[in-house]
Amino acid sequence: MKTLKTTLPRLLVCGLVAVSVSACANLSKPYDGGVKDGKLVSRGKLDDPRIVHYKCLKAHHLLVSEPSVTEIQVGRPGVGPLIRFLATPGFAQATQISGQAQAAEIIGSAQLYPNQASDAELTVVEACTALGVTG
Amino acid sequence: MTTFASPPQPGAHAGDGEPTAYERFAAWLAALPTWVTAGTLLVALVAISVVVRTYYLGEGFWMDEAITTGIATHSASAIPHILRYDGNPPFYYMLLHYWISAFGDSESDTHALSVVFGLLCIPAGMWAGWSLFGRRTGIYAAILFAFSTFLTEYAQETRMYELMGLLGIIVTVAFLQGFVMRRRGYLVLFSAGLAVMLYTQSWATFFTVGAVIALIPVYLASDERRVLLRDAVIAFVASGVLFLPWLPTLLFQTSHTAAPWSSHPSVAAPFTLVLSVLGSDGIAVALVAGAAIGLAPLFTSKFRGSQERTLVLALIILPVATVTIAWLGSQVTPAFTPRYYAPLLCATLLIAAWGAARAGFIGVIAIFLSLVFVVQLPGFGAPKYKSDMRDISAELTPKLHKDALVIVGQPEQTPLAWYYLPSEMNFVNTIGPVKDPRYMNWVNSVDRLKAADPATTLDPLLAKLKPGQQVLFIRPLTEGAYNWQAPWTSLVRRRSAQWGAILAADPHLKPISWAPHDYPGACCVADSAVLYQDVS
Repeated sequence: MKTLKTTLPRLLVCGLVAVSVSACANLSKPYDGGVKDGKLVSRGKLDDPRIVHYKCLKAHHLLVSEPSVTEIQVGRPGVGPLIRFLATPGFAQATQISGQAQAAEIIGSAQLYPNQASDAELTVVEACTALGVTG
Repeated sequence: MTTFASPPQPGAHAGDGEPTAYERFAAWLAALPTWVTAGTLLVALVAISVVVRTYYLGEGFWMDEAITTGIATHSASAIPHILRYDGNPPFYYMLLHYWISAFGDSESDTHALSVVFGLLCIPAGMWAGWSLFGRRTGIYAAILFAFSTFLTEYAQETRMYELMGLLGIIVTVAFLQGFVMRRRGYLVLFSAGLAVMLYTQSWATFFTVGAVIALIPVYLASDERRVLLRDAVIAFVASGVLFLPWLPTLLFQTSHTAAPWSSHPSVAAPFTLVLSVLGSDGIAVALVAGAAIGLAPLFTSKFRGSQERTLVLALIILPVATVTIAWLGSQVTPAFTPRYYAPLLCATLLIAAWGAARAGFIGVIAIFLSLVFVVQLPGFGAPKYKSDMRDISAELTPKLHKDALVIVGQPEQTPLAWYYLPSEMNFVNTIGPVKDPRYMNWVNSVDRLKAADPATTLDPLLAKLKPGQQVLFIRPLTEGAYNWQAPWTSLVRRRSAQWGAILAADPHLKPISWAPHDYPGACCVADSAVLYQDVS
């Protein structure tokens, strides 16, 4: 009984020290998302899903620009092909069925507007747009 | 004097009393003639297969079926000439022509011809297995042919693949009987069957080369090589002579039509092809495991030089060599798709049936498991919905005027549009105006589509439109990527968009309707359609 009386306070102190140390350890945990250097950042490495198509087009020495976050323009607007990305392949298909994308090729979730591009240029643009498309 | 206990006889019973009901039944069954039990099983399998293979009998056509039906609706004398532009030999089309004359040209009418061939494959399969490897193999083969997902799928398709499956059985059995088992009377059947096969589908040329290669192990194992060689030369040359009248057309088709819609097959393509033909991974694993366990002993030294060894080698080499030759040929001119495998189905299923029969109880399990996997497949492996053209027509036909201009973005879908739309339409496709919408002219099709500039081809047609006249623009749904990578299909997708751009930009054309409004997803190629009216 005497032993218990003397050890209990010691155990309590040790426990408190352990909790304190673990709390300190929590402060030095790696960054897990939020604001860093004034910018919102994520835990994982992020890629723009268009990057694969963009890189492919650039690799074929095509002049490429991004008019908006969902579009890639090859060459001059209205003359060169325009790629517009939609939410899903089904959504892209629905735009064709309902006659809203008569001027576009549907490739996966993308609408590819050929405009005045040549067959040779379109062959490259179609292949780059189809990258990652399944089925 | 030593006495031996006799083994229990059929119908014997353990106790002293009357035999049990089961024992009486077993004795009665054993006493029945073989033809009665085999015949009963065959009737049962055919009856089940009738149910399985007519599940989607009346479902709509997709483009290949409409092309076939369109060609067959021409006069018998015109069919061989039209096929010059299509790329196929005439035998099936002639059969279908007379079948349509007798029964009609609806989907279920024309599918019924394929069902007949599909059902005939069951007794033919039993005959194949039984005559070559014994009763158990015959029964297993009949079961496998009755539940084959490949035969179930193409029984409900107006194409020649079911007939090719049946011819494949006849020719394979005749080959093995005539060359391996040296029943030379079968060589006549082999020559005639091979000739009919060559007149049915062009892939039979690859089968012929595969059969020549499959003769190598037979030749090496033969004691009478000179006689075998002479027989082989006579048999193959006889088939060739019978095929000579069609040879000039085949050579023309090979250099001008081929299959531009097909891509060069990958290294993995032969394996995915076999998996696709067997129905699913599960079915393939069950059948391959049973066959491997049953047939492995034939490759031990005990069977060296035996007829069984030669049979199994010939059976394996025939499909492997044919597929390899077709794969190599398709690297130059693509023509590699699972449905062309039909004549090799017999060799494949015979290997599975013979192996399972030799594997004892494991073989029973393998056959049973394969059936379990088949039953789990929707439609027993057959697709329900191949194309939405029938739905498009159902939606838009009430709105169509008599002189409407129908523009088809994918030229080979013109016969499908012709089949489902009213007959008083004017048909045009992205190559240009179409005189006869009942068939597809594949001659130099890629070059002609490349040369058909959208504005130059379409503008004169639009200029001729009368006020109030309608234009129906039908174009393919280009789902996925793989099917649209071939030179032809990628151009079709592009031209459809270019023609669509011209129509959408024309200030005189007002879109008044579109279809389909309820698209469930097709197995093959589906379409979208927009109906315009000239408002000038």
